[in-house]
Amino acid sequence: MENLENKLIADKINSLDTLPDGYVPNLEAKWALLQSKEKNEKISFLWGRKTWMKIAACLLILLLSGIVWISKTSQPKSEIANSTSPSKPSLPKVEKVVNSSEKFATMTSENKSIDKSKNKSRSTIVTNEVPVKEVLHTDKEEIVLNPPTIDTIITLQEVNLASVENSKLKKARYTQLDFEDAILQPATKTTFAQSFQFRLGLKSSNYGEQNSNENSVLKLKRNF
Amino acid sequence: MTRFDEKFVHLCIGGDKKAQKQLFERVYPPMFRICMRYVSQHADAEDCLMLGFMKVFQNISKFNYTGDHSLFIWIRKIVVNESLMLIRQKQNLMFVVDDQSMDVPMQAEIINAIEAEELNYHIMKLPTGYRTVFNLNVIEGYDHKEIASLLNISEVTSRTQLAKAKSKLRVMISQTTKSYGEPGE
Repeated sequence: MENLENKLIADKINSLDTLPDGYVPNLEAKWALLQSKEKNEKISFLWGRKTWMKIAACLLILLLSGIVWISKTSQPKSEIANSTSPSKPSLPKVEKVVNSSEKFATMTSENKSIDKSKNKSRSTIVTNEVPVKEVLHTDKEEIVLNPPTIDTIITLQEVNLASVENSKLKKARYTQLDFEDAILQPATKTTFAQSFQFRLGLKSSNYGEQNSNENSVLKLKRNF
Repeated sequence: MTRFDEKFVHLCIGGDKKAQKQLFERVYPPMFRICMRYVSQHADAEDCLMLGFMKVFQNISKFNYTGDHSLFIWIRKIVVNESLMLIRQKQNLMFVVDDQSMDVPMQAEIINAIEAEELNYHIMKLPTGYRTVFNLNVIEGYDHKEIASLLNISEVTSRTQLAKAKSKLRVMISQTTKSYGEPGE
């Protein structure tokens, strides 16, 4: 009963599909208003989207520029630190060298007696040689570039103890026995054998010069 | 209920402005009537209708065609929701408790005898609370659970409001029929 009543009322009301009497709206104007509102909403939506994108882009640029600036400012400091560290005074090293030279001096005085006895059997000691290039001898004091080992000390003592005459004699003797020197002695004039060696790659071109500049005492000994 | 064929509906969905304008012109009068039943003032009804049509044309691409009446029903739902929103905004939704309302039975003959315009007029004369629940239940076909969720009220309130709305309408209709039926008036 109630449903029938409801249905009757709904049908009656839904049959009213016309505008009420006395009300005549301008549908054209209303349609235009609707269209303009839609456009405005679209524009506002797009504007909002664009502004947010712009703000995000600005923030990104600021962030990147900040990172670049930080990286640029931090670089020179590290460079300065790197450049200053090697230029620091090497006093401790000098001290060490002095200490080592002192040690060397004491060692020489102590071992003088031993060396005298060993003077005869020098050739056996020389086989345990260390390059003499590392030690520079001057009149006043000795400057040691690298701290000397026991082997170097022994060899240096040998060099000091040997007299000039003996060394000259020995040199003369060794030069007589050195075959390589015999080939390379005339540096300016190239023999057939020397040029053949260059071609084969057995000898370097500046070998003769190096050999002439060196103090060739020990070298000759080794060759011997 | 206005019918729209599939071709016309697809034109509207596709964004054809001519078809959309035609739809607007055809749907405007019945929708205005619906709005008027809820808000009972011309200006408010126009506002509701414009907001409703804006939503319709913004979301028409999402509409699925299921029958000739489907588009009309979809637009009607949107317009009803807009009307309810306006009522909530204006806080017009007052549920009057009237103890003097009597349960007067309404006969089908009386309903058939009364004109549609007159019935509509009586419905619009009801208090806002009664009218809203009556419209939602009797004309739109919502049950009390749906009405309760839409208006944020209890189901019991919805039932009592409907009963009181019906009884008041019966009284109003009976008074008019009496006045019509009385000799010499």
